[in-house]
Amino acid sequence: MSATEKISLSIESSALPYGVVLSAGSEILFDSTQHTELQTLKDAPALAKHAFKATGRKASDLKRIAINQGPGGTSAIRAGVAFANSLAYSLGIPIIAVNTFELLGAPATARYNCPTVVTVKSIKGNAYVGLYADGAVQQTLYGPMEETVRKALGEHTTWAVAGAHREQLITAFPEHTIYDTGYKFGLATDMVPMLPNLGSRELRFPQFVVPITEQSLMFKQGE
Amino acid sequence: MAKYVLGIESSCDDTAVAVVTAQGEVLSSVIASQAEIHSQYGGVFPELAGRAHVQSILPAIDKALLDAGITHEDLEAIGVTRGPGLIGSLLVGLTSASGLGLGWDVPVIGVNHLRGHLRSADLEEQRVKYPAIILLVSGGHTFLAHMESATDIKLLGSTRDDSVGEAYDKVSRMLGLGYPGGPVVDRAAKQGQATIPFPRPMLHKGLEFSFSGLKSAVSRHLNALDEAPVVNDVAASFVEAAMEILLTKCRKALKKYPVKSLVVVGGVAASPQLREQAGELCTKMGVELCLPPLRWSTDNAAMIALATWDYLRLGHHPAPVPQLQLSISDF
Ligand SMILES: [Zn+2]
Repeated sequence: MSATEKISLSIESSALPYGVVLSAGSEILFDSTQHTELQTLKDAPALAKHAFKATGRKASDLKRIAINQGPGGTSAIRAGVAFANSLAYSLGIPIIAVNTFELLGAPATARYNCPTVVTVKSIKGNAYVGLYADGAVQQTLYGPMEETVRKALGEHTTWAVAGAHREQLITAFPEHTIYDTGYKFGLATDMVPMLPNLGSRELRFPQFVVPITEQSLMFKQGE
Repeated sequence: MAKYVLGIESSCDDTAVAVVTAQGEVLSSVIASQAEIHSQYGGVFPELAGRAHVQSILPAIDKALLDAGITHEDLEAIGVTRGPGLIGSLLVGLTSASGLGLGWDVPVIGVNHLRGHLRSADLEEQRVKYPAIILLVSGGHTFLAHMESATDIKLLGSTRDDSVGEAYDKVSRMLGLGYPGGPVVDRAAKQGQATIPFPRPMLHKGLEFSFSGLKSAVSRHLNALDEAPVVNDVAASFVEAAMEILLTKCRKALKKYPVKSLVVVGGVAASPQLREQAGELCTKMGVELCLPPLRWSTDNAAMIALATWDYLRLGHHPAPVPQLQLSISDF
């Protein structure tokens, strides 16, 4: 292991089974989604232990932790975020929160070269809607799914779609040019290339990550 | 070198962390209460509880270590409640404990919350004279247990439906007295007359409890009234019935099992009516009444930490994964 090699643990916690990735710089050392025997494991701590065991690394080798703070499956995110927070705290290393919109939007926008709409299911026909364009999340809204997507899109008529409502949206906007990314959930491996640019978002205790849900400020502003 | 256990408790609506020695000495105990969040719902709202735990647990862990004046290198183990409780709340405590254990390379033990309650009376000092009968009365639980020793525990009877604390909360809401219901209902009862003959469900059936019938009887009584109820009298009648149920079962248990002490723990142990009547019963039966400080009777992490020492002594190391159904005899 070279001295400059930055070992990172990335956790995609918005849906079960979790995705847990151990990386050194841009190199993926371990990806839990590539191990079929791990797909029944429902807890992030167990997957992280597998990652260390399989790679011969230790938790104390970690230099930073990245976690998807949502939106997505509420209890899965909460448990994943709690684990990531306390692991970062115990090791005295920084933690970086990535949201579902950028996690799905960044790779989609790079591939289709157009803005990406990312939707996440919520209760009562509502959805979390994010618009990703020009290397950043431009809009985050919460409300009735189609109506909220229309609001998030503004003038855009050519876009890629990722997340939970892809087919429904392609049907709902027949006059638009829409690329179906096929991305339903985020991948922890997609967090790895994002990390070098997220240094300014590193949190250290007493700061830590809080899951995104309907009640969070992010969505209060969008309402 | 002195060694410590870090206890973490998040089974319901409070986030609690404590540092405790093998002798039960409490170096620190932090409780982040969510009472304010839940008071507007008249009870614990699971969705909000889970979220609040995520926000309060790390600061609570940090403060517990700081208050105790120790570092993670002084820890023998981390003990965390694995059940029973609300799944979303439990998961936050369990995964947080796992993160700490992984980062610090300290073993993490999944503790039965009920065992914590049973051991709570020995925090700070050895108070319980064994063998003992223990009555746990709270918002989450109502049961009687026999303890031959700190770890030899047998369940004698528990509630078949609501806990006595839940019944208090619901009656309090019916009477418009607020949440939590215990103190306000007791206070109202002191000023009233027990004029209404509410039922005492299962009074003569073994050592099990039932409170839903009593709660429904209060509701039926209030619905049948043409005029505003005399709140204090309803409260007094309810408390009298609840106390008769609790004390009758205690007397039966004390008669059946020759023990040295009766221990009463849980939030309802704060009830002045219960403390007084339990005292009278113990005098009559010739056993010692043990009423530990209330701060250890309600949910806290020090009791989880003390119970963790039992697990360590006996070599039981249950994994920190949620288990919603646990009996008090389970480790
Ligand atoms: Zn409890």
